[in-house]
Amino acid sequence: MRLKNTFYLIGGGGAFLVFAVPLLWALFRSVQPNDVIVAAPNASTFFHLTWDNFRTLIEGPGNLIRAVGNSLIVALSTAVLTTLLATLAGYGFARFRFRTGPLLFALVVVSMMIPFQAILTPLYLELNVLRLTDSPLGLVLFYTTVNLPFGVFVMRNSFSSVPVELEDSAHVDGCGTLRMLGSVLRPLITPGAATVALYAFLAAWTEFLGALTFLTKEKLYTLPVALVNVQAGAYGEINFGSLVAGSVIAMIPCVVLYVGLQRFYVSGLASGAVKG
Amino acid sequence: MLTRRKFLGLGAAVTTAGFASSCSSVLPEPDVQAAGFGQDATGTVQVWCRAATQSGLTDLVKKFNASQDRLTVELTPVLDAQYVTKLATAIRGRSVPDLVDIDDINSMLFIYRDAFTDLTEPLAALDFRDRLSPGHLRLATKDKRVYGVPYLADNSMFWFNTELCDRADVDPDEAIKSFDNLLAAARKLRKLGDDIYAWSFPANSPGALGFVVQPMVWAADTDLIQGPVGSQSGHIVGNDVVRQMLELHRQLWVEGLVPRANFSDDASRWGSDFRAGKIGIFPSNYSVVVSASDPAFHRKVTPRLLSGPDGGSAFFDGGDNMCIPRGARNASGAWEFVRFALDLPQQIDLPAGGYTPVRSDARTAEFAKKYPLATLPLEQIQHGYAPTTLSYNLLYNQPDGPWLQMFRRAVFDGELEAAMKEAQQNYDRILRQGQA
Repeated sequence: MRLKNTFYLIGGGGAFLVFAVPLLWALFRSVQPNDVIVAAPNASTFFHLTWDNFRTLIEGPGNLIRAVGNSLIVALSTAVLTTLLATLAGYGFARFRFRTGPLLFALVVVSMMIPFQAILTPLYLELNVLRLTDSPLGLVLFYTTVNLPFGVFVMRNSFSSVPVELEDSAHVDGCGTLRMLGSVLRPLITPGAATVALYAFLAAWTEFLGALTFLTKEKLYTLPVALVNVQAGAYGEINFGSLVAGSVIAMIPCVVLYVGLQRFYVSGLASGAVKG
Repeated sequence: MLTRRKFLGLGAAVTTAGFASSCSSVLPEPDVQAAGFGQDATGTVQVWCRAATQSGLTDLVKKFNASQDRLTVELTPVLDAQYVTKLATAIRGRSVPDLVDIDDINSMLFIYRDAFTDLTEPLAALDFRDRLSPGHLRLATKDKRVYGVPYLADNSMFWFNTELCDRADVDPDEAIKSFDNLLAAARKLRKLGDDIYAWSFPANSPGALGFVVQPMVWAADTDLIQGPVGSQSGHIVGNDVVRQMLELHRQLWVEGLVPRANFSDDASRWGSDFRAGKIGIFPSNYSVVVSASDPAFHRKVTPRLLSGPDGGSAFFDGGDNMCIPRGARNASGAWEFVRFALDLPQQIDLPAGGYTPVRSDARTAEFAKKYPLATLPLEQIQHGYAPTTLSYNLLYNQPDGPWLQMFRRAVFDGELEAAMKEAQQNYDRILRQGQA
């Protein structure tokens, strides 16, 4: 037993270090000046710590605070809309029997296999005709569309794992479809919905190429685009100070959400993958 | 009754019509000869700039917006590597900005496709027209018509660490007289210590390498490309200057005169070794050497123009041109902003953001005192050059482009003949495709 515990401690400790050291290293580097980061390590300058990188990001031309705001609006809206639509669609696919159901569901799942990068130019032209470029709404609709197939897949499986008898009893007691969804099934599908929301939020928060293509106004730039603009030089030079400080800012909501929702996230993934 | 089938059919028809209306190739050109063009404009001017030059542009826009209350400039920085694609997509989507501050090397790509406005007449009306950088203007000129205005310069030069040169008994003015002299100077510098190197080049960054090495060919009045746009081809096999340039770099590598890290140097930390005082001769630009270092280091460096096998002088006339895309809604406001950007007070301020002016008359006594390391390209502005071609990005900026492949194969593998032959074929192919 003691031997088993020792192995557990060594294995767990090792895994912790593998994941924690890069994060801690990024935190440490974010308070070093750029010229110290790019120079060979030198004991006399290595511990000169400063907030300059964060100050440059916040006060400099990149408008990073505004970009964080834009990203939050877009990512939260995407998460809410994706979860709502995926829940309704997932319920429909799981519970209603109709002739084209399996075909439609197969189409939804197949669309996960087409990377949006491959259709970026037609997408741009389409959104441009619809006046949805340079618009947070356009970006939210785009991200929702990209994330929906996975969301529908998870939610359909979440609903499938709930016994039909539960709904039958609710029907007998006079409960309508929407009320049943909100009152009876909600607690049972929360893990799936949390998974969809978290997945959509993280995807929208970190997405770069779509935002770069569909936005041409700096005041609308999301965090990934603003960050790349701030740290990139003309010949491939990288301002590592700005880059690492920006990454620290970008990771905060991801870490908070992930830690807060991870219980749901793990059980939601399991229900999507195994019980379906 | 509107059945589902009819509804879907109607939707498809509307979408098709929408796309068809947006498919005409060339956007309408603003009238730059209208009375009052570029004066007392109102409204908003949308300006795009490169992310790399956004710092200076941000200050310029603030200054302009504060100088009057009729016109508001809104600046959008666009990532350098995505600039051409993004602008092309915007033109295709018929939703263009009013002014683009574009890498001058990419100007011709759009001018050749009739995407920019002819600015010859408004430019001729400027009283400092003759003092503008001829290299920049050449990159914006087609059939004697000019489609862009220089705004800022980014020039490559040799930077010598005078402290190391003094210790090694190297005279920068003698060193640049020939490749043999440069090599001799490099050997002396390397003897200063195990951690002191003579030279440094970013051998894994195609763009930066092209920026600092090509002028060593141009200094001998030749180029790797020959012919006018439309019928260009490579000029590599049989070009003795190209061969000597490659041999010089091969020798620097073989004799260990450059750091081993040059092999994989992608310019992401460009200049950190020179700024640390470990390099004697460093081909680079003002921004990398001066803007990123402290005043104490500035006193230790001196710039010289890049030179060829037998001397001569050249520098890469990089930087930005300002162009008004066809289809711009506020071209008059855009031109007003251009004139403001070219005024001497704004031009003289440019080195604060890491770049140099494009007007030779910006080199005043006051300027020389404030920015002594930025005066050389202004004094020698006629030596500035950059190749006018539609395929610059494919040839020089792509990691798999023929320029980088030739350089690495010749310098690191020593296969000089084969490298030049392969490059000649690839230059010819890419130029032919680009002009089709």
